[in-house]
Amino acid sequence: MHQIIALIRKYRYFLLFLILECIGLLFTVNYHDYQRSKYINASNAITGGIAKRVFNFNNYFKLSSENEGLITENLELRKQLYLYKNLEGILFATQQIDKLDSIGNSRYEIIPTKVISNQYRNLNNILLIEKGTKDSVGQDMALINDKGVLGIINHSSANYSSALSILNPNIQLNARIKKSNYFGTIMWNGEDYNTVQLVDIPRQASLKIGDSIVTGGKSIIFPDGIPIGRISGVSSRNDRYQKIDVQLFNDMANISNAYILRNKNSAEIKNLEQLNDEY
Amino acid sequence: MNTKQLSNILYFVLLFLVQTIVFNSIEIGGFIRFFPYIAYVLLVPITKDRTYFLISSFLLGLSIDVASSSGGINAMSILLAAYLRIHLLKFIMGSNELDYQNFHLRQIPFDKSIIYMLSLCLIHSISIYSLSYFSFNFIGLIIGKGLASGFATFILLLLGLFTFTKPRT
Repeated sequence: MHQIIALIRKYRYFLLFLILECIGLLFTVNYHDYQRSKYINASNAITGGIAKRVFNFNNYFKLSSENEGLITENLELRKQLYLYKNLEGILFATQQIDKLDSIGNSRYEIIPTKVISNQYRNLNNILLIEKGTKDSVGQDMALINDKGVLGIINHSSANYSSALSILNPNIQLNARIKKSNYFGTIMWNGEDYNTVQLVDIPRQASLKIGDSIVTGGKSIIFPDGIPIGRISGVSSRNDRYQKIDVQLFNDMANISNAYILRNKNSAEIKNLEQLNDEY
Repeated sequence: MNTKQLSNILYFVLLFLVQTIVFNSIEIGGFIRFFPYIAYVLLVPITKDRTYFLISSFLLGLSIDVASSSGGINAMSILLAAYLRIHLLKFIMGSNELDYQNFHLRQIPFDKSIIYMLSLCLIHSISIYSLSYFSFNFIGLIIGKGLASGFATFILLLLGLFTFTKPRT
């Protein structure tokens, strides 16, 4: 007994080291499993507050580019408004109605927000935004901005929410080629923060560099037709597409204004899916 | 509370703020990041009882993890560096030459202090990247980014050391 105590005393720092490392490992593993990363998460009140202050400070330096973005967005909206007003007789406007329909006819509620902390250098990147459960923001809602998809919300506190960035290998988005309507999946391989990868595209789909990729609409989270990016590289083997690189429309290093899309029918759809699972 | 404890707390708060507010948003060439908070391990005086030192290092890492939502990787890495500090020093200096009470970085020979700082920075940053990628598939990225960031942090700390401390004999 005496010897055991002496042994413990001798190695007490090593034991302390091991115990603390185990605690750290617990946090790390939980963090890699997203649904459980509740405790060490920047969506809590304290760090959310700090991040917001830093954001307010940094924001002054981004004002001009932010203004430019808003101006182009305004222009785009004016164009759409014009098309909407002059619908009759304009052939390609039908596409635009489709687009308006998917968001505009109130299946989705649009909540404006700001991204106050933006990661893009890690493997599992997280965005922190300024709206929370008070504004009826919660899990599994889409986060977009004027240029396209940003991510999916995974946790919310009262005033803040965290979202998995599209630069996160845990996200898999249903996507399609805008021109040809072939469906695939968008994933990120963790390398370049401007490029994501499109997989599961059938071999008969014809595609070339420069084709636009948009969301596919086969999910509760994203409506159809939200822009993602442009094909920037294709490698194929034995007539099968190996890897399709998609350059994002968004500059993920520089995002600030964003919108949350809340699907008003998501509870209904989930209920239906649960019913199906029971059989 | 004596001055030593007070300055330790000051280091803790300052390094936390510097890391989360300034250096968490700096990255050069998509490859190099700076982790100046590892200076905590270099700055806290060496004492015979290491319990408080290990726990406070771990807490510093954990607070940075909470602020940057990175799980526990900073906590684990700085704890590793903190635990290895005394063994590293004994190895570099030879255990007979080490004077715990009056140890100061500017006091030991320059080449030895460089080896000591560089190895701590490298251990720390490689540990950070291996934990954040968590997979053998990224072994090249881990080593590349770890070495680059370790060297960058080391140079930053060296500049800081020369700016903020006076030479001692």
